[in-house]
Amino acid sequence: MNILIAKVGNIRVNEIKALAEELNKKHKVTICSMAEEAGYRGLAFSYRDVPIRVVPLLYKDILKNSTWVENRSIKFLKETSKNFDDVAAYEFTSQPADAISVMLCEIMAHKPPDLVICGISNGAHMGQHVYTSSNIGMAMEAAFLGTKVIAVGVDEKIGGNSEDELKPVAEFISKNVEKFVKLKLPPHTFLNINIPTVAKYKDLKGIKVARMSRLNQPSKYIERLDPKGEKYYWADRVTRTNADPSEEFGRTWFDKGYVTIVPINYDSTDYDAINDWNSKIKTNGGEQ
Amino acid sequence: MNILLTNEAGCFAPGVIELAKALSSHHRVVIVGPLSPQLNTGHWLTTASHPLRVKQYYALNKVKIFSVSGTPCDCVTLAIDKILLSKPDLIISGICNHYSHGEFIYSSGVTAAAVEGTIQGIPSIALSAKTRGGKDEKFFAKVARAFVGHLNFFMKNMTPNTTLNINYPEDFRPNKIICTHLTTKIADNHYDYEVNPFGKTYYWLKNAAFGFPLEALEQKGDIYNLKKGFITVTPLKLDLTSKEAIEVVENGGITL
Repeated sequence: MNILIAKVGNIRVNEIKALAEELNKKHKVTICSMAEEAGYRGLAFSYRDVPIRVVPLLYKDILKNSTWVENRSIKFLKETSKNFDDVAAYEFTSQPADAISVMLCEIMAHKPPDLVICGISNGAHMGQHVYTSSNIGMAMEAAFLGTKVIAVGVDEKIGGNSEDELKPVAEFISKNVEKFVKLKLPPHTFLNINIPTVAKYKDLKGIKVARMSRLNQPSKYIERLDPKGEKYYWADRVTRTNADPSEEFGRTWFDKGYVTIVPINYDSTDYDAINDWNSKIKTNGGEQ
Repeated sequence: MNILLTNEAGCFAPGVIELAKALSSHHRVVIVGPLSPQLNTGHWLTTASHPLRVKQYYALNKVKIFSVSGTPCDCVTLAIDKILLSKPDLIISGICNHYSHGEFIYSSGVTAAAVEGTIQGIPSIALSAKTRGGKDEKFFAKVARAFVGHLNFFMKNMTPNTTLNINYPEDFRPNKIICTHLTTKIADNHYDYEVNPFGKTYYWLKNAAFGFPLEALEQKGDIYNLKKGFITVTPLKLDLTSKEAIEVVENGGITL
C-alpha cells in the first residue's frame, strides 16, 4: 500500500524513524514533516501573506546524520520507488494543515495514499485537546480532502520517547494498517488512536473503542517579570486529568493501559437541537 | 451580565468595537482581543514558543480594552485566568469580517475562541458577518443591533457544552433567521507551485474554496442558507464522537 506519514515535528525525530522503518517493510512510505515544532495549532492555515515553503529530501540522507542535506527536486522524488533508500520526505515551513493539504492536493495528487497516518504525536490527544492538537488538525484536513486517515498519539514525555518505547506503537499500527483502510466508516469520520507507552508489546492490555473523553481543562498561566519589571505570561503545562471516569470514555481505558480508538466526526452540529431551535424561531422558508 | 468580547481582527477592529457599543448600555463589557490581526489561526494556543504580553488601553463607553500578543484562543484563556476579576457570564467572539461556516469553523479563530470559551465552561457565541467593505463600521453597527435584539432569545435557548455559531449575510433582515447544520463537503484545494530566486520551492494557496456556485452544494446547511440571505445559527457540540462509527470499528477486526 501507499502510506503517507505526516508528523508535526522535525524529520529527525524518533517518532518518524520508528514508524517509517516498521511500515516500510511491507508498504511504500512517504513522509511529510515540519521544519519547526508546531504543536497546539489546531487547524490553523496560512493564507494570503506567507507562502508554504517545502524542501524535498531523501530520507536516507537524513539517516546519515550529516548536517548538510541535499535538496532534491519534487519531480525526482516522484519517480523514486520501492526500497527504503528511496523514501521521499518533504519538510514544510508552514502550518501543519497546509502541509498535509499540499501533500495530498499537489505532491501526491498523481498517486493518492491509501492511508494517511498522522503521528506519532508526543502527547495523547484526548478530550477537548482534540480541538487544539496540530496532529488532529492535520488528520482533520486530510479527512476534509476525502482521504482515509488515522491520528496516533502516545503519552507525552518532554524530549520525546526513545526508539525502544515507540517500537510497540509502530508494531501495533503496522499490524493493523490493512484493517484501518478496509473499515467502512460513515462520511466525515476519522480515527483518533491513543496508545500508552509500554516497555514490551505484550504489556498492552487490549483495545477499546470509546467516546471522546471529558477532561479537566484548566487554563493556567504563570506570571513573571522581565528585567524592566514588566509582566509577561507563560502558558503552564497542565496535566489533564479525567473528569468523568465512567467506562464509555477513552481516557478511562487509556489510564488502565489500553489502546483507545475514538472515531471522530468533524461535523460538530448538534442535530438534536436544530428542530427545537427552528420551532422557536419563526423561519421564513429556509431549507435544511 | 458580565460579557467578555474577543475578536480575530484585533482589539480595535470595527467589528468588536461596534458590538461593545451596542452591548455596553445594558451589560458590563470587557474587550480582550489580539494585538495584531490573527486570520485563520483556528484553535491555536500559544505554548512553548513565546510568552504572552498584555496591554491595557483607554476605556470606551466604560468598556475596558486589553490586547494580548497571541491568538483569539489565547485571549479567552488568559482573560479567564489572569485579566478578568471574575468568570464572565457570556463570551462573544466577533464580529469578524468573513463567514465562519462549513468545516472552515475549525480554521476560523472566531469560532475557535468561542469553542474554547465553551471548553472553559462559559456560554459562548461566535459572530461572523461578511461585507464587501467600504462601510464596515455602519454595517457592523447594524449587525450588532440585530444581534443584541436577539440576545435574550439566544441565551434562553442555549444548552451547556454547546457553542452557537452565527453568521450574518450582507443583506440580512433581523427576522430572516434559521437554525441549520454545517455544510460539510469534500474540499479540493489548489496551489500555485513556484521556485524562488534562490532555487527553493514554495506553494501559494490559490482558491479559498468559498466561491463555489449554489447548485454545487450537495447538502443545504449554512452555506446554502447564507447565500439565500438567511442569518444562520448553528449549535456546535463539544463531543465529536461518531456514535455510528464505534460499532463499525469494533467489528473491524483490529487486534493487538
